[in-house]
Amino acid sequence: MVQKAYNWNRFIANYGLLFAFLLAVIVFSLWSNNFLNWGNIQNILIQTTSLGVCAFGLTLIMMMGEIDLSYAGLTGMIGAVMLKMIMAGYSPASVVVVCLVIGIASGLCIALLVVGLGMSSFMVTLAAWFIYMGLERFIGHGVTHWIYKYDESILKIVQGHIGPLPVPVIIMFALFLLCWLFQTRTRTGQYIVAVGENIEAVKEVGLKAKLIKGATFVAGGLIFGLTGLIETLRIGGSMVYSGRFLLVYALGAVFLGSAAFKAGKYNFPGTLLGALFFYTIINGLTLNAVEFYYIPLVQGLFLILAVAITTVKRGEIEQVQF
Amino acid sequence: MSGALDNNHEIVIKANLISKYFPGVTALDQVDFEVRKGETHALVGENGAGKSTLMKILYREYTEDAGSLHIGGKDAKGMDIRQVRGLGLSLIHQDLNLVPTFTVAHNVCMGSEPVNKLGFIDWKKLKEKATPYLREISSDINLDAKAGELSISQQQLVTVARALVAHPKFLILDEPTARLDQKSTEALFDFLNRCKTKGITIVYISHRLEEIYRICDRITVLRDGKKILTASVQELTQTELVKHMVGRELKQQVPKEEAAISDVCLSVRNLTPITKVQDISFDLRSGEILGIVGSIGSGKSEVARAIFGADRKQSGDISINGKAVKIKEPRDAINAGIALVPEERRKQGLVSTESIRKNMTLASLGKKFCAGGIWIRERKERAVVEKAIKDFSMATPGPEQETRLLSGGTQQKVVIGKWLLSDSKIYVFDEPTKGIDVGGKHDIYRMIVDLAKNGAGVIFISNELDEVLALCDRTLIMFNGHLVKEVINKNTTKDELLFYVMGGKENGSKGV
Amino acid sequence: MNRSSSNLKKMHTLGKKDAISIFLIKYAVFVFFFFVYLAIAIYKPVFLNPANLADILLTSSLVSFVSFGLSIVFAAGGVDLSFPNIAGYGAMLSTYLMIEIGYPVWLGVAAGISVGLLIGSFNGFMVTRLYINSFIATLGTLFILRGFLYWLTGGQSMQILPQGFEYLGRGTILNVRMPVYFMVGVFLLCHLFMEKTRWGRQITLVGGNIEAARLSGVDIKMMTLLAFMICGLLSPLSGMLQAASASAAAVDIGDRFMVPAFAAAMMGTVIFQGKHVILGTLFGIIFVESLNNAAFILGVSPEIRRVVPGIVLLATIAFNYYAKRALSEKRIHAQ
Repeated sequence: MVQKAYNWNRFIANYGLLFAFLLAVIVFSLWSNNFLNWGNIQNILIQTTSLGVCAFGLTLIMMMGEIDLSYAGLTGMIGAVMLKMIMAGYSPASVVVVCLVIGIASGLCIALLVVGLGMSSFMVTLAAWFIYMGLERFIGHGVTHWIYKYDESILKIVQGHIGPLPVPVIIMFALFLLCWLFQTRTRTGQYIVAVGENIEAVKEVGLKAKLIKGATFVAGGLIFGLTGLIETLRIGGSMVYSGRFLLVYALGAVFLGSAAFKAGKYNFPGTLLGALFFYTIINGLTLNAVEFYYIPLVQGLFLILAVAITTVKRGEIEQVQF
Repeated sequence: MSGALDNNHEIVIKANLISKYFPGVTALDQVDFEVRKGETHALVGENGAGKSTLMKILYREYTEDAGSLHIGGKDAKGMDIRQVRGLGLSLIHQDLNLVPTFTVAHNVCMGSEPVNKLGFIDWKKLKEKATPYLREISSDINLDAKAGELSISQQQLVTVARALVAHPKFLILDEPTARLDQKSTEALFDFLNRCKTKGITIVYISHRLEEIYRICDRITVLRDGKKILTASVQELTQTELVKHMVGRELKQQVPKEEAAISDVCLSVRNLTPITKVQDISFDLRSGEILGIVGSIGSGKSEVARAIFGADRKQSGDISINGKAVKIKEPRDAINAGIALVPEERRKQGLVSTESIRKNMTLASLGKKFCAGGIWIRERKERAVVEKAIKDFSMATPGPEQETRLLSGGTQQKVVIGKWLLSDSKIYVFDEPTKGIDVGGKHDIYRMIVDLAKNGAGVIFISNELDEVLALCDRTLIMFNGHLVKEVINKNTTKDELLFYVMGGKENGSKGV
Repeated sequence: MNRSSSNLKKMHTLGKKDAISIFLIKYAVFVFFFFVYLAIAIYKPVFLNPANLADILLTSSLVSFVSFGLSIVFAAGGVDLSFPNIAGYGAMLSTYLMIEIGYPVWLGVAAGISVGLLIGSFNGFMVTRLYINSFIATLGTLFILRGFLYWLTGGQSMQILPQGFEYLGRGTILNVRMPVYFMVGVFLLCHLFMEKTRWGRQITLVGGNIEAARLSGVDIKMMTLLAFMICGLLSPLSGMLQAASASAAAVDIGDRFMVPAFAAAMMGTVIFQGKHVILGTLFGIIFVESLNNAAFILGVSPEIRRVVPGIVLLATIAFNYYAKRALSEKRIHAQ
C-alpha cells in the first residue's frame, strides 16, 4: 500500500505539466459544455500557432544552453516590414521570402556576436529585443495597418484548411515533427543537445561546436521569422508590439515543457504542450465569462505550480547564468 | 617528409624551442621535446612547470608564440585541433567531458554515429560500433547506461574508449589515473601495455612516481617553463628525478613532528551518510592526525562531508568534546568548530572571481571582521590577510589578487587559511594535495603538522598512501562503504595499507 | 619558490605608460561616453543647460530604484522579471489607499513599500524553498501581478493625488527635484550595503560560487531571499515616485521601467568587471537616460529613441569585451 502512494507522488513530480494540463482540461470541460466541442478546440489550436512555432525556435536555442530574447521584438518588426511591403504592392511570395531572410539575418548577427565574439547571449539578445522594438516603431510609426485593405491574396496562406485542420495549425504540427525528429534522431540534433549539456565533450571529439551553435541561432532566427509571418497574417495586420505578450508566453511554454516529462530537460513535446496549455487556460476562462484579469493570474499560478511540482524535491537553489 | 632519424629512432613528435607567454608569466621558455615512435614517454614537472601548457600546444588548443612543431613528420604550425586529430593525435585527460544524458555507446561514438538512409542515427549499429572500443578498456561497463550514472572511474575509462575510435597513433594521457580506483588503474595499465605492443606512441603526464617507472621508457623533466633533462628510466633514480623536478633537495618529504595527543575532541558513532556507506564509528583526539584511506567508492569523502554537514546524512551521532551536536548544514559544523577543506578547491573551496582577502575572511566574517556583526572592517581584513600571506609564503603580490589567477598550491593555502582564521578546532582535509606540486605539498604538510601541534584534531583523507603513512598518527581504512581496519602508522607498512584498501581481508581472501 | 618570485617581479615592473593605457582600457566605456557627451554638448549646448541636466537627473532617479534592486538580484545569481509590476502595484496600491480610503501619505507610501517587500519575499521563497529557477518564478509572479493589478484598479488610473504625495515627486530643493535626493540616499544605502556590510558581501559571494559559499558557512538561502526582498522593497519606490512626479498613476506605470532597468543593471555587472555593481548600475542608468535625453534634444523621433537602451547596452558589452582582450594583451607586452 505504501509503495503505491509513493509511486503516485513520483509520477506527478515527473510529469507535472501533463498532470496540470489534464487537470485544467477536466475542470474546463466540466465547467462549460462548449469547451470540448471541435470548433472550440480548433480555436485553441489556431491561437496557439504562432506561440507554438516561436516556442519551438526558442526550445532549440535553449537546448544548446543559450537563450534568445530577440523574438519578442523581431516578430513585431517583421510585421511592420510586411505591411510596408504589402502596402507598396510587393507580391506575397516576396513578402514571405523577406520575412524569412530577416529572421535568418537576425540569427546570423546574434550568432556572430555570441559565438564569434563570445558575448553573453542573454545580454546580446536582450539588446536585440530592445533594438527591434524600436525599429518596429520606426518602420510602422506606431499605427496599426490591416492587410485586407491592400492585398487579400496573401491572407489566403493562413485561411485554408488541409483536411480538418487550418493551415497554420498544420504548419505548427509540421514544424513540431520536424524539430522533434531532428533533435532526437539526427546527429546534428543530438549535437545541439550535447552542446547544451557539455560543450567540452563536443569539442573533444573534434566537432565544430561554434558552427553548431551558430547554425542553431540562425535556425532559431529563421523560425522566429516564420513566427512573425504567421502571426501577422493570422491577426490580419501589424499591431503595435504584437510580440510583447509572446515574450513571456514563449519562455513560459518552454519552461513548462521541461517540467512535462521525466528528464527535466527542454523538449519539443513538452513545449508544444506548454504552448497549448497557455491558450487552453485563456480559452477555458474566457468561455466561462471570467473577468479577463483572471487569465494572467491563473496562468501564472499554473506556471509556478507545474514547475514547482518538479522542482520542489530538488533541494538546491538554481541560479541564472549570464 | 619523413620523420628525422635520431640514433636509429624515428622521432614522431618533435617540438623545437617552443615558447608560450601568458599575462604576467612565461609558461614555456624555449622547450625542446622529442618523442620516439612507439615509446612511452613521461612528462613530469611540478604544478605550473608547463606540462599542461606543452600538451595543449601539442594538441593545438594553444598556439605557441615561438618555435616549431612537427607531428608524424608534418609541420603542425597553423593546424587546429581537428587537423591534429586527423594526424592521429588523441588526448585523454581528467576533465571527464562526457554528455551525461547520452548513453555510454553514444558517448563513445560521438562524432561518428552511424546513420541510416533517412539520415537518422542507427542506434543498434551505434551500440555495435561502440562495443569493441569499450571492451578494449573495460569489461563491465554497460553500454546502455547513461554516462551521468557511471562512477568517476568508469567515466574516465569511457573517455579512453572514445579516444580509441579515431584509431590514434599518438596518445597523450594527462594524469589519467587521478580519478581511477585501483581496479580501473590496473585495467588502464593493461590497456597501455597492449598499446605499446601495437606500436602506439604514448606521452604520459603524471605526478605518480611508481606509475612512471612502471610503464614509461623515457622521462622529460620540466621546471619553471624550461626543459631540464630527458633521460631513460634506467638512468634516473626516483630521488634524482624528484631533485630535478624541484631544483633543490627536499630534505624531508613530510615534515612530521610529534604532537601532544590529548583528549577525544570528535566522536563519531554509527554514521551512515548514504545507504552505501554504513555504520562508521571512530574517535579523534586533539593533536592527532587521523588518516582515512580508501579507493574511490570506499565512502571516505562521504564521511567527511557528513561530519561537516555538507551532505545530509541518514543517521549517526556526532559529539564534540563529549557533547552531542546536531549537524545538518555546514553552518552547524562551523559553529561546532569543524572545518572542511573540500576536495575540489576551485569548485567548492573558493569563489574564484573574488580576491584572496574576500575568500580568506569568508568563514569568519561576522566573528572577526565586522563591527557589530554587520559593518566590515576592511583595513583589519587586509592586515590579517597580508600577515597570512607572509606566514604561509603564498606566491602572490597581495591580498587583492583574484584567486583564479593563483596556482593550485596557493589556492589551497587560501582555503586552509580561511579555516585557520575561523579558529576551528577540528579540521577535515579531503585530498588536499591533489594536483599540487612537490613544494606546495610540503608547505601544506607543514601547515597540517602545525595545526596538530597547536592542539587541533585533524582528519586527513587521501589516496596517496605515502603521504598518509608519513603524516598521520593513526589511519582508518575504508573499503566499499565500511570501515574495515584501523592501524597505528608507526606499526604498519604501505603494503598493509594497500592490502586493506584493495579489500583484502585478514583471513587472506579478497573482496567484501 | 623560484617561479613565483620571478613572476612577482614581472608583475611589478609594469611601467607608468602601461599603467595609463591599462587605465584607459579598463574604463574605455567611460572614455567613450565622455567623448559622446562632448560631441553632443558641442553640437547642442542646451544639453548642458542646468535645467536639462536636472531633467536627466529626474528621469534617472525614477528608474534608479528598480535598477538597484535588480542589480542586487543579479549579484545573487538570479533575475527578477516581476519588478515592473511590483513598481506598478506599489504605485496603485498606495494611491488607492490614499485617495479612496484616505490614508495619510506616509502610511500610503509605507503600504506600497510593504507590499513590494511581501512580493519580493514570495519571489525569494519560490527560489529558495521551492527551488524554482528565478527566471520562471518571477515570470509567474509577473503574470499573477498583472492579474492582481487589474483586479485592484479595474483598469482605472488615479488622477488626483494628495498634495503631500505629489511633493515627493514634484517638489524641489535647490532647483533639484525630490526624487533625485531619494536616489542619492538609496544609492548610498545600496552601495554601502553591498560593499561594506556582511550581508552584501555574502550576497556577492553567493552569486560568485554558491557551493563554496555554502561550504564556508554562508546561509545561502537567507542571502538569496534577502536579495529578492530588497528588490521587492525598492521597486515600489520607482512606481510611487513616478506617479507622484507625473501626478497620475496608471496600471501600466511600471512597464516603462522594464527596458532601461534591465539595461542599466546589466551594465552594472559589466562596467567594473563584476565589482561595485551598484556604482556600475548608477552609471548605466545615467548613460541610458542621458543619451535618451540627448536623442530627444537632437530631434530624434520617439520611435528611434526607444532603441537607445538597447544600443547603450550593446555598446557597453562590446567595450567591456574588447577591454578585457586588450588588457590581457597589454600585460603580455608589458614584459
